[in-house]
Amino acid sequence: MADLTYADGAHLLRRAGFGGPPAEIESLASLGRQGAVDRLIDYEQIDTGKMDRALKALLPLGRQGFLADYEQRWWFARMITTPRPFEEKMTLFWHNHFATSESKASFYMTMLYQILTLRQYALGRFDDLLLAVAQDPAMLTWLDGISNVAGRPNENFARELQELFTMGTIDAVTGETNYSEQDVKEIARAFTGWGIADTGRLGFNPKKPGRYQFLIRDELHDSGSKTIYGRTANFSGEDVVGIIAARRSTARFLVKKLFTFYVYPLSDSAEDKATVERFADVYMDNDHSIRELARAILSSDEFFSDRARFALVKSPAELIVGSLRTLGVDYRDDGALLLQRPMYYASLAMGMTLFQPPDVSGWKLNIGWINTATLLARYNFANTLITNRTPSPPEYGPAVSNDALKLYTKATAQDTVASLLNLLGPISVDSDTMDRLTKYLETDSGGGPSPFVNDDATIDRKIRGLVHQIMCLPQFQLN
Amino acid sequence: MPTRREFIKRAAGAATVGLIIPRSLLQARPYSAAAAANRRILVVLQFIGGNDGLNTVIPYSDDQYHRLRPTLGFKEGDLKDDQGRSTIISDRFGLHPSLTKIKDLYDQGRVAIVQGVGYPNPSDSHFTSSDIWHTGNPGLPTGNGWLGRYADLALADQTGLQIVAETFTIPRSLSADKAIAVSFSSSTLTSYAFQTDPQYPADRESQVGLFSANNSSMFPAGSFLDTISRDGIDALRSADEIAKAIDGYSSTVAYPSGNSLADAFKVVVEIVSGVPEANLLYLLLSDFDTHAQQADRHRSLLSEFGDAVKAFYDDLSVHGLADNVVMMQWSEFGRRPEENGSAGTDHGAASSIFVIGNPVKGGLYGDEPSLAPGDLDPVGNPRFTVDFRAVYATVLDRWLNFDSRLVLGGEFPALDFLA
Repeated sequence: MADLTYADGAHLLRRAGFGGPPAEIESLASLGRQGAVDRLIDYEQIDTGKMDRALKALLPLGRQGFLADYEQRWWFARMITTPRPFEEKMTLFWHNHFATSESKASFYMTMLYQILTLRQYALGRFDDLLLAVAQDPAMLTWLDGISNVAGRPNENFARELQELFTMGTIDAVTGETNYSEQDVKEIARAFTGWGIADTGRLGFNPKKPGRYQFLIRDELHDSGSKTIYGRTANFSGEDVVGIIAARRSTARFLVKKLFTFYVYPLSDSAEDKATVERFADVYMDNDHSIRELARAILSSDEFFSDRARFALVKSPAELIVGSLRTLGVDYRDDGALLLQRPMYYASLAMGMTLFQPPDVSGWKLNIGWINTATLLARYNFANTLITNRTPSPPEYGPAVSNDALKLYTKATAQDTVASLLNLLGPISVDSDTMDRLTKYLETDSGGGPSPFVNDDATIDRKIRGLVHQIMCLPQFQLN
Repeated sequence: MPTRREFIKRAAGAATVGLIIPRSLLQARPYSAAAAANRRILVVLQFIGGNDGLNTVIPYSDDQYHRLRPTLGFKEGDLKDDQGRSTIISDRFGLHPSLTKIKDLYDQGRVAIVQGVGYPNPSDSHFTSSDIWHTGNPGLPTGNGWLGRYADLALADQTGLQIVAETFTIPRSLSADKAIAVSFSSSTLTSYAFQTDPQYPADRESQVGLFSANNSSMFPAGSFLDTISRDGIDALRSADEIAKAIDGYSSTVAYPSGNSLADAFKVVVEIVSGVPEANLLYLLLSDFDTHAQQADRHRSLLSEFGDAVKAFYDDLSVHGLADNVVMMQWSEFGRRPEENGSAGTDHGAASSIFVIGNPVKGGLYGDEPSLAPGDLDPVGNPRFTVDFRAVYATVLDRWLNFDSRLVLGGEFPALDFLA
């Protein structure tokens, strides 16, 4: 199937990854729809040795003296440099889905280990992912699993497991109630005794286990019989995970969340419910495989439909990482600028602090990202990025050189505007906006007319301003 | 640059600010710093996660309370602060020992406590119950927020649209048809400005003009592009006004450090003292979901609350605005009377809330729900005695002078905590 246009390829790379420069998009588009989707999804075949070595050298995560917010920078650095963008995107999806915050983790590096777990199970069977999350030390702390004990169950995890992580209070298609308050209480009992052991091990090494390890304290587990969804047995936590992962309500709920994140928000229309059912079948027919569900969604006609184009609002991570990847930002050869802190504080100002979602329901996507303060943060991130001229500024990290911008600067103002709109989207704008952007290039600093010249001085003075302006367009905020 | 400590601190008990101001503010107008004498400011403070009302306003003489709270309960003798000052407010109730500063305000008659506030068939979900409070609709919590509906109706005949605000996410209470967001947080306020290339200051004017024109394009009503472009214009226009307000602010009041709610209250005073039209503000304080090891966290949250409110009212007095502000606090539910096995409490239902300010008639309102076994609901939660919409109605009818029936779609008898 060689049926992928440049715009299709850019759409796919923005959604399944974080966008990229034209060469990357062209190479992806040349594979055709299924080939391109497969390349992104079957990422195990792509070697990450170079990135792993760079990250290890850059971040002293394994040592004491772990600096403030290093984990934020570590993840951003991965997202910016990874040759497997879908791996990071899917991990980000699960981070938002199983929203856990280090604000309550007894030791914040447990959150880094949770992200490793999400990445490891990102495309496996949903049952396996769910069990790994239920046994994750950060989650056990976050939703009080560690203090859920026989005789005195704690309902926190049992409730959110159903409401937010798997099926929702009501079925996404039928609207029927998915579970009762009694189910919450009984499921809490099934997870009693699940806890964590403190090994005392410090530091962070992705190849070694973390400080806290899952364990079941048999003496605190309620082994009596429980009635869950009308069935009675001596259910364990593992049993509950299997039962929930096999429910059609769970399949429907996951499809809806994946669509909202990757394709477009689904309505309650009959047509959209039919879409949910079709992809819920994929989940049920493929042994709950997230990989096959994701493959079906990303290669679907819905995904490439007009309705899906620019139908989402860029998250702060998508905006920041996407801008850096697309503009071919200079990190310096040793990559040290990847660590510069202010770039990641921009994400905080835009409303997204990784490892610290606002609550267990995750970030509010799409228009939830938008208000006057977060928009100013977006505009100012663009300005700071594009006006950083050298790769070693005193305060700021990544910079964009005149040479990088020269690639997209054409002989005429109009062609230059078209070229940069194409790079940063491709974004389509009305003719008035096109004319205004063109006129900006043909205006001197005093506001008077000045013929456009493709030279270093103009690039430095005007192309930077143009990129800032394009990144301030409402269209640029969409994904 | 925040340190890690501050980073974590901000997430635990993070507080943010939002406000509604008339769009006329954002047009060119003569700037008047004089606050109108009859100005009526409403500040809404949401405790996110479900505040334990029973350990906030404590029924210390109720045997049922002590039966249900064998380890977390406060005995009469516990109701005093570090210096031994009592926080008892009546022969039945006392405030949490960390609320000394709220007790001082209570003694001055500036604190109303409404007990038993809730609604029928309470939801145990944070999200459903919050939506019910935000929309003022226990039947079907959809549509705009109650404050957003008020803003649309009451402020619509002023110039154009109204402004709604919050940091990071707009609280549902403020969602409206005609309103657009202006938002702040104490941590991002200094960068609330539209920046351009510092190397070419002469180019700024063209850039600002271009930005305005591009974001003034017409987009389909209700589309993401429509919202984003309008918010973009409001961001640009409000930035100068806000900067002016912040620059003009000074105060002799020392706000407590390391207290994110106090930082947020300070922003509120900066805004209301500098922007005469800013009369509807919204704050959030998170981390009240105390399922486990509740005692320390709850103490620290309430102490943060009390210290922040004290500084806020001191600062309002300095700025001559203390008679112009009513602050209403709420949370999506209280916590279950019976403590759990984790030294915490699970999701509850009806609970107590605070309404604070000089215009408030202090005292206890509403009936404390019975905690007797036969009186609790099947989940084990107290049954409500005051519909939360009666609290909204009181604020709308008696403070904002607006017919609450138009906002709430029904009649709810006002309580007497406002005249």
